[in-house]
Amino acid sequence: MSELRDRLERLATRGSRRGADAVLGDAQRTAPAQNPDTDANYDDLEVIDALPLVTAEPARRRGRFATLIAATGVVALLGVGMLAVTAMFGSSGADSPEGAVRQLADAVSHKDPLAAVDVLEPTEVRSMRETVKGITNRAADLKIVDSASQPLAGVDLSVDHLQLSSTDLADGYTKVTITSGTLSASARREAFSHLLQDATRTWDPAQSNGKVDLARLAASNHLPTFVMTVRRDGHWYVSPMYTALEYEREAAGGPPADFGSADAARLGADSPEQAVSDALHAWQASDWERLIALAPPDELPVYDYRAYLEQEAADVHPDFTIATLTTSADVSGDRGVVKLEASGTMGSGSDRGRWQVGGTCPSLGGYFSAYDDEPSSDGSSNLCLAGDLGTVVPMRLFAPEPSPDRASSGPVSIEVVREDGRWFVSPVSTALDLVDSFVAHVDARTIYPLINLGYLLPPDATLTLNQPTTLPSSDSFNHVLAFDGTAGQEVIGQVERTSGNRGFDYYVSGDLYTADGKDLGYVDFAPKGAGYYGGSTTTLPVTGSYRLVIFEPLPSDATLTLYDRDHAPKDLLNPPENGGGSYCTYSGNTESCVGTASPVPVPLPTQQGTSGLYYGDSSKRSVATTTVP
Amino acid sequence: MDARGGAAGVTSVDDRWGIEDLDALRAQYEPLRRFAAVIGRWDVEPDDLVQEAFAKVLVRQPAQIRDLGAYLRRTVVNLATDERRRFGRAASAAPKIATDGAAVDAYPSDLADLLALPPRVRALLYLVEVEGQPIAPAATAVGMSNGNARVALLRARRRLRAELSKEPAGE
Repeated sequence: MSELRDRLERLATRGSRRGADAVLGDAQRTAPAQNPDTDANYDDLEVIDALPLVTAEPARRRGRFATLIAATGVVALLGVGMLAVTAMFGSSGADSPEGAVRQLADAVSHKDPLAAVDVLEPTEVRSMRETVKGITNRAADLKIVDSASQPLAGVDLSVDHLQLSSTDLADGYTKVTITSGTLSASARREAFSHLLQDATRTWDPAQSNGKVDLARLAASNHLPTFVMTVRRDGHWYVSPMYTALEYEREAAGGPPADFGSADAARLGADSPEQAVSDALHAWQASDWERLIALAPPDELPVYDYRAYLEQEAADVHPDFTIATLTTSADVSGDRGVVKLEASGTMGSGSDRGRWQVGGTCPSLGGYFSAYDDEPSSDGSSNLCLAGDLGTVVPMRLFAPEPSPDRASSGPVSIEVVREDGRWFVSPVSTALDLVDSFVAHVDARTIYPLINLGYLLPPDATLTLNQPTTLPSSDSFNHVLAFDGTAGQEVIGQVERTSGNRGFDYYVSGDLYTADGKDLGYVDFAPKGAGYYGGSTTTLPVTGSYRLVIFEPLPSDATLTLYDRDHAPKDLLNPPENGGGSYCTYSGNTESCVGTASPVPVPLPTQQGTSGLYYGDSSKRSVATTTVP
Repeated sequence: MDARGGAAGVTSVDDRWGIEDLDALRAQYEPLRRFAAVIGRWDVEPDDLVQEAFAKVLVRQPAQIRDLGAYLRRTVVNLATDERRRFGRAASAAPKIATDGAAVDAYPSDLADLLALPPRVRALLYLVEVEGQPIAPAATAVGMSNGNARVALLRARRRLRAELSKEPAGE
């Protein structure tokens, strides 16, 4: 991989050099006066806990509070979801803009979703009800929460010292600014479900509490914290959509919104099919005005922000063509689903490729085949979406690779909605449909590894040390492998493909656990003959059964071998990229190996002058051996 | 140096940073500049990123910083990520498959794949490939978990290796 290193070196020396003195001098002139003991005005720090005596490197946007939320993400998601579920029971709003925000804050403090949803704009949260209901029930099915009705059990929230000010932006549209206040969060593991208690077993108790200054949530964008409220039928509600759009606009310094300007009767399309077709053509033609006019005003108020959005998108020109497009609609009342199939080209020159919506997309096997060869040379599409996207797209958010091991086919469903007799494309409902489908398909094998509980799953196969193993065909993302090991044994993995393009490097990395869930780090499987990623062994701490949890999808022809150090190929322990070992290459189906098999010390990076770090000869080290405690 | 000096508890840079402290900061310039050059956007001067990182660290008391080099690197990663996000905001205002107007960089084509990687992943590659750091400390340096860093490196290397292997054949 020296070519990669060369390119990184070229990048490292780019740019015009002003010199250390000039740069430091300018920094001194621009650095503001500050009282670091009391000011929390650091763009890279959000949490306002007392500063530690010794400051760690700045964590970006994710302090303890965010870590807490991330760790309990599933629960938090469900909590938010419950707000919408309970929306069906009523929506009364508040008497004033600030009253709506205070009611929302009180609801958060008391974990009272019913009270919270009372002050959320009813049209915006309406479409979330069934989705959240599904998430809640599925979480209970998977035992992530003990009770679907108490998804926030174990999480305590408190909003304190809230002070607000209001600015009327238009009749019925008021911005409420939080001038001071704190949000505190704490977690009680003992109140979590047994599964979440396992998932958070390595938590540092000190990270179970956090406090954030509500007035400074948007400080990194040099904005105050505010919430947009809207008046509907004489009552005031918090509007998540207006809030998000107003933040974007203010951060970009865009022109003000034209609140309440959307007249649905003059927007949209005549039919569901036309709404979807027009939207795709408007997108392709960079006709942002038309695209914005096809969004339902009650659900997604982008029309009010058209001046800002069109300004922002003025230089955006999608580079694709539409060669075929067919639609068919299934309408029920004021809602409908449009089945879309379309195709065309995208990009230009050497980057030109095909896109396809509907039809048949390749399976994971096809994905690997395409990767082996030229992705678009076999006529397959570079971008292909088909069938139920809920089985594919959400996993892109979580899994390192995109597709399950099965082909998808059929048209893609787009949700549409009718307002004032006109049809609009509903991006929110379409996205929620996708989430619904994902939730319907999600199972323990998908979720457990994401929360470090993969070791609880039944193993797909059992590895025998030093014996190659081909995994059974599976349509799941995550593989769990079992093997027996002995205390003190050092293990390292190798992956080999038995067919196709054997020269194509494929790496696998598995999280290693004892059978009872003790996290031991990881084991790497380097490709045979190209082990520049290899060299690190993992020492097994006890004699017994182990679990390897692998996120990477595996080609059906992949063979994994877990070696103990004494039996491992020398090039795996001391790969040629580190300066030693033999080097094996493939030509067709013929393997040839060259070089020495004896370990060669590897130079440590050493400082030479002031121009950076280089590999030198003065310091040597052998390839590292990882010892897991 | 600062108009606010004199307010209770407010200190200027000169109050907080002595000559030796500034020398220590100056010594970070070269390695930090290389790091910033690798992970920053092509149209952002590395020196500008370094200057901004210096300005941020100068706000602090030197005694509060455990590891100046690590602190500065993390700050540069954050700055580069924010810069990339700001640039992407306009493009994200409307959905797109590809654009021909948003990308104005005129960088060498053989660096395009490297530059397409997120700053954090480029930082990882640099620390591991060029500086020879093990993955665990490199992951810590850029603010990623060990597991996420390993997966990110796997994917980046695989992608780059595929691109590198294609080039002699016809690109």
